[in-house]
Amino acid sequence: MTDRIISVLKSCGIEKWNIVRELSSTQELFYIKKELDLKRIRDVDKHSVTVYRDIERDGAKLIGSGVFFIHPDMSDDEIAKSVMSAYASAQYAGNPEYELADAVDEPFVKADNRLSKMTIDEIARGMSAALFESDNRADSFMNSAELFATRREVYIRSSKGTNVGYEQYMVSGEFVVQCKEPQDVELYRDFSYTEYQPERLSAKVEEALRLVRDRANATESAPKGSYDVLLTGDNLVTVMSYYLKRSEASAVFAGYTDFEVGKGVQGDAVTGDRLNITLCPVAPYSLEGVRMRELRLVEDGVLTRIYGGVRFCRYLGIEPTGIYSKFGLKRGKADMDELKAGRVLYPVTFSDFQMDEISGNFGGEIRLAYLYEDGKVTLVTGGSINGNIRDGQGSLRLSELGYEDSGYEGPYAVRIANVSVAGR
Amino acid sequence: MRITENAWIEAKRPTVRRLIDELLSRCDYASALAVDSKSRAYSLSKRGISAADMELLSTRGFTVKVVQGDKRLEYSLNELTEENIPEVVKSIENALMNCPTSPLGLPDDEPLTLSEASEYEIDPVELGDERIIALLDEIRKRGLKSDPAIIDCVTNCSYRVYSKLFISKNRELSQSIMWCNGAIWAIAGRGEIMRDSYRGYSKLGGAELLNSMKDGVDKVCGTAVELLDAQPMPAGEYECICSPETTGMIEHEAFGHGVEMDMFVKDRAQAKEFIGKYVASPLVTMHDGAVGVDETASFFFDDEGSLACDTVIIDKGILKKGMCDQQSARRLGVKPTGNGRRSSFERKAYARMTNTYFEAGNDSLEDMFASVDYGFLLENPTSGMEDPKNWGIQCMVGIAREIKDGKLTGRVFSPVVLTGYVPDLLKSITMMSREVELCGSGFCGKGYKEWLKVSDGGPWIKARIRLG
Repeated sequence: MTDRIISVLKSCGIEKWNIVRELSSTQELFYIKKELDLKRIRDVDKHSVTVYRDIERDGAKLIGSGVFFIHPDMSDDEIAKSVMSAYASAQYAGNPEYELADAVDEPFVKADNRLSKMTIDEIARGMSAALFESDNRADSFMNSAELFATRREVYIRSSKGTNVGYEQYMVSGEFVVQCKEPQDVELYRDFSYTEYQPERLSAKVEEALRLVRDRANATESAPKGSYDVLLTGDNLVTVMSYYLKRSEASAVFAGYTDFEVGKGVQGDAVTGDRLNITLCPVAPYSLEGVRMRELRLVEDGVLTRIYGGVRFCRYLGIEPTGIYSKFGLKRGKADMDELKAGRVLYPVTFSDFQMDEISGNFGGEIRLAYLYEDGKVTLVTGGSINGNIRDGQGSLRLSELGYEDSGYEGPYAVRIANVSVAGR
Repeated sequence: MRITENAWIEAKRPTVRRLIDELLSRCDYASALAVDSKSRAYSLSKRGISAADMELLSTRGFTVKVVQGDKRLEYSLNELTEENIPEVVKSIENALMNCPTSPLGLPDDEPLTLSEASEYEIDPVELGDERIIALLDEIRKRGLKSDPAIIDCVTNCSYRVYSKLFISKNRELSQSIMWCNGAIWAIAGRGEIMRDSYRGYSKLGGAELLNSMKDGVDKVCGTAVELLDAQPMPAGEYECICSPETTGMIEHEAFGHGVEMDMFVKDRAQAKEFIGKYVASPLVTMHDGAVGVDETASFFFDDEGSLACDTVIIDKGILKKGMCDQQSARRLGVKPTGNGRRSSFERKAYARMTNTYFEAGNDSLEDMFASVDYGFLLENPTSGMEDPKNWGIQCMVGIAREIKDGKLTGRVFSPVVLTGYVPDLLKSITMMSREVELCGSGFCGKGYKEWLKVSDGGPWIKARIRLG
């Protein structure tokens, strides 16, 4: 099909284009308690095509683009109709001219890990067993779960001569654990792995089963006021995403951020840990065909680069890097006991935890938190935290203890000072 | 005007029927859903102009469902031809062999035939990219000029035209639907402080929606500028007036997800224990339905071949029933309500909301404000998350406007988190306006995935809410 699309593009006189083909096979398992409720299989072959159009308007050189999708049973006439519709659209979506991604022509990159040596069925069965391995407690249990095992091949071609591809495996899903006594509560967790890591999934379930039991015993919210807050795991990743979004080329170009290379990202007075952030590739190429490499983003609290897709990087006069969906953060030196010292609220699960990268506001409703007051621990539930990273970023304290998932590698915990808590 | 017949769907109809016949010779039940969906989204901002088809909504493919004894399987694929039917049948047979699902009867398959289409005034394809982009540019420029503090005024528009065909042994249903969305997002800045404000627009129909966006831009930009002086919200419980979109977020996120009846099957919803009991003020009557109102989640049949309904969820404060997909209905021994929806042909059907709203009340907005000694007007809902098991509220709004002695003081607070116990909030509703507004500009997830179109709204409500 890719060759047919290229042939139609040529016959339509389109000179600049980019094609991404994604071929995926997935097995999906849906459980209610330990019983399989539904099995799904998915075989999908998709083509996404971008056509570019050079435009001159009022003496300015512009380039417009249009994106469309090609389905396997489309005839050449249907493909041509889609091409011309997107090309016509591109005429009115003109933006300042820029050079498309440089050509990269490299051999197909095969996945080479434990997942790639297993069938989709073996992966699904192995990870399903891990999902239920820890589900043997008397006080809490697995309520329901969904598991997706996927193998995908991605191929990228462009009019500039790019011809690359890669293979990826992923296991992802979500589960809900429940505890019925002394009160009936549940806890949601999701997971995503690019390596076969049943032991990690099993440990995640085990932790959730322990936490949901604590939630069942939590009855009151914390007294309202200002607290040092300890955030861990996914909640830490959500807060730190502020720094990634603010240093992305399209945000810089549009003026949605005040970040500048060579300047501090943590405000004027940094008394806590300085941030060291690395961008980590999850695929060898971006969908525009840019080779993705590990890159330093923030070094000792100072922004070292802007990153992003081809268009906005070209506008800013920097080398395109691709958009990253994984980052690394250098661990701190504090052990977990130090981070829990004094009066600290440690929310381990929210109903939803949000970060707004425009304002820096973060917050969420607490489903379970531990309130540490000079060694005394109280379980709390309900109420919410409501903070702004710009207020607390100068005194962040990062843990020595590490954490890793498909989108993050770094410290497990961060302590943020003076966060407003709505409670009793 | 009515959307015309979809040529691809009609061409595939005999092939899908043949596949079902082949499968029925081997299985107790077989059905297929064929979907052809086209979309385009336009966006104008400082980032530039874009006009592109949307990946989530530009799809073409099939979901095949089979039941053989106690084995249930779904197969999503996007290539089905007369020639590859034997291969598809073989893949399904192989996958069924290793598929020990828990016992459940066969899906409802009472005979039904249907062919329906929605109406529109202006076809966005005929209106054309140039005109749509020009209209969005006009709105954007007005926003940019409205105040020097405005950094950007982003204007968006998108539409989707889709057709679906459902075939089983006894059913053959087809429908074509068009909806249109718009949005204005303003960003204001002063020094290091940046704040934003958003308003969405939606319609079952076409590009006639764009006309309604012009008048909203001043308010969106004005709110973003006001937010630059916003103060942190003092935590506490207050008398609140909720705008219709805030009412919509509360009923959708805080309550609606808890009456999606697949949650009853999993013992994940407290609502299961409250059928027939008061969960809200007697002023509250709540509906969910793909028929009854014309919005982005309106359709004629769902993704499992059940006819759409207008379901009364809460009747004068009493919880009557929930929304149900086919599989949950069989487990619970109830009738499906036409709420089995898929994010795309690639995804499982879940019990999902459609258009969810409270009926109008009898109060004037003036009387509602006049009744507040001290409280807040809550506007610009930004996010919300369900908690069906414990009915905990997790909703955020972008702005709380202070009300003193029945009047807005001009002081604003942001961001604002709404918390509390859902029935407490719904029972505290003491006034509801005569005006009702619905909006379906956003996407709803089941947990953190399975995005699809819903709408929600209702009247302005007065309630007591814990804010932080």
